[in-house]
Amino acid sequence: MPDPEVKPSEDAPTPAAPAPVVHSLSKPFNRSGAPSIADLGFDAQPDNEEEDDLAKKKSSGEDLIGFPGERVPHISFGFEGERWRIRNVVWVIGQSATGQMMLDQTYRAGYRMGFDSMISTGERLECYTNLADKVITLDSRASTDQLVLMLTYCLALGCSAIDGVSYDSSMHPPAALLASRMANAYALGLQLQVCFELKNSPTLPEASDRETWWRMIAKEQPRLASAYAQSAISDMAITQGSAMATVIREFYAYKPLLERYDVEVINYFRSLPQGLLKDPRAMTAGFDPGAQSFKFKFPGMNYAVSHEPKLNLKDPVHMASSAAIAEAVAALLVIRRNAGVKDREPWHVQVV
Amino acid sequence: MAGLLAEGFDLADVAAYGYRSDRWNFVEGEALTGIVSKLNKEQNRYVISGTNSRVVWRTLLFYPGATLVRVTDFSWRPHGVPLYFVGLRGQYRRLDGSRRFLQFLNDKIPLKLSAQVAIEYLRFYCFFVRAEGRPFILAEKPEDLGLFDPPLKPDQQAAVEAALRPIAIVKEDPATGFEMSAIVRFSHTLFDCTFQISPQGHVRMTSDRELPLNLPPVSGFSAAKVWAA
Repeated sequence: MPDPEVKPSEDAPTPAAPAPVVHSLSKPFNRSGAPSIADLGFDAQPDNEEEDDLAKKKSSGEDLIGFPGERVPHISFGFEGERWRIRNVVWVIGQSATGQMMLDQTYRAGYRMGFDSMISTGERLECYTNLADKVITLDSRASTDQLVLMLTYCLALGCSAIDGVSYDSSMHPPAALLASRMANAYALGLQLQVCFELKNSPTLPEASDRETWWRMIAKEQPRLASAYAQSAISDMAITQGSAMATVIREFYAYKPLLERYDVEVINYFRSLPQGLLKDPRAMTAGFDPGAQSFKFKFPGMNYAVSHEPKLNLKDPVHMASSAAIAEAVAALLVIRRNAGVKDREPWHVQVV
Repeated sequence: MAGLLAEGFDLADVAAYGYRSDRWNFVEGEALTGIVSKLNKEQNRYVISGTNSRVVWRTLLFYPGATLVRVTDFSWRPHGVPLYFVGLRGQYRRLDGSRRFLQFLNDKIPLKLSAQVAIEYLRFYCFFVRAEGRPFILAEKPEDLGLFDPPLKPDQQAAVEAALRPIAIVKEDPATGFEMSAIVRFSHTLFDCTFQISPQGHVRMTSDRELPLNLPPVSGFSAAKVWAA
């Protein structure tokens, strides 16, 4: 009589490691607290015809763009087909860890996304993020690959507000402009990182061209990110004569590092504005309208202003009191060392 | 150093419309708060910012008594979003890009078409009825086309300028309406089109001929002027 107790067959190979996590369309995220795509408001694909019919009925008539009754949190706008387009795009973004983080953050913040053809006034592809209303609108003319980039950028802008790298209408215009530049630099940095991760994502289909997004973005976006950051930092340098600002600007202008695109560099792009603008409201307090100048109070600024600009960058403690800045500067030093760059001594400070 | 601009001060917008031009009337102060509040009640898709929006309005000669309201909400990123509304007797509806909505307007508002305003009506109609998510841009001058990316080469520029011409009324008949011809930009292609406008406001494109200019496909920035600039 066979033993009722099930015993593992000796012939069966012992699994050496747990099976790799496979991303699926409906559950691209780790479900330990993180939302799935279905939670984002995109209807799951119906399993049977009845649900399919129901979905068709729901999507007809009152589901059109711009009609009342659609303002439901987390439910995207538009026709059924447009929702599927967004769902596909979200799935691609979800194949990168940073993309998942961004989707998670914006979902929790209550962002809605959809298409709106009336936001464009010409042939330019438009995508917008409303930080206050928590809405993302995309351009239906864009190809799916372009939509991946557009939505990544919009999500990143949303994340910049969530992370505190943002501003609101209470800020003085120049400070708001400065903050918006930094938020843009931050968002473009995030966009770069997502595409960087997608390039190496193991969960994208084998047949897909994983470098598509990177190719589309790598030419312009680092320039844009550094342009935003540089212009903001140049403003600081001019108004404050800050050695730290000059140093940071020099980093952004440092071409070999920008061309390497390694994770450390991209992380630096991300961490810098976040550290600088941790308290955007504090910046407005120092704006002097008469002199058209700023008196910033971000970490390290007082020190940089009150000392001779020949700072010893090898000692990050002297650079900033903020851990984020100190860490970023330390990372910069490591990157420069790894890249074989000899630090100039003393640090060269450009006169703007 | 990049120049510092006040938030909401949009150079492109100023270039297109002229700040405080006599065409657009600016809404300010309490009136601005009131109209934004009203527009937020009339549509529930977006919450228009009462503090970050610029609201302008103008009359529409072909819709007596009606106004066109343009809201530019600068709380959007990366720049302000334009939203268009048609107002009539204190009620506002957002122009949603559908032909059906303009037909609805033509049913509700007595359309007054004359030779003087028919061209403006055609421009209005072509801009606010969207096909494949994009407007039909009626181009009379090179500036109307917006920019191309990559920019046009000198020979292409010359060919485009030679092809453009003013919108013309070909035929006018009280019974059948107006027949007009115009150069239309749609995506990266220019068309020589003929339109038929009925007295009730129905617009039909009776013929379109693609101009063989080999313009580059749009891949980026192209700021065509908004209607009624």
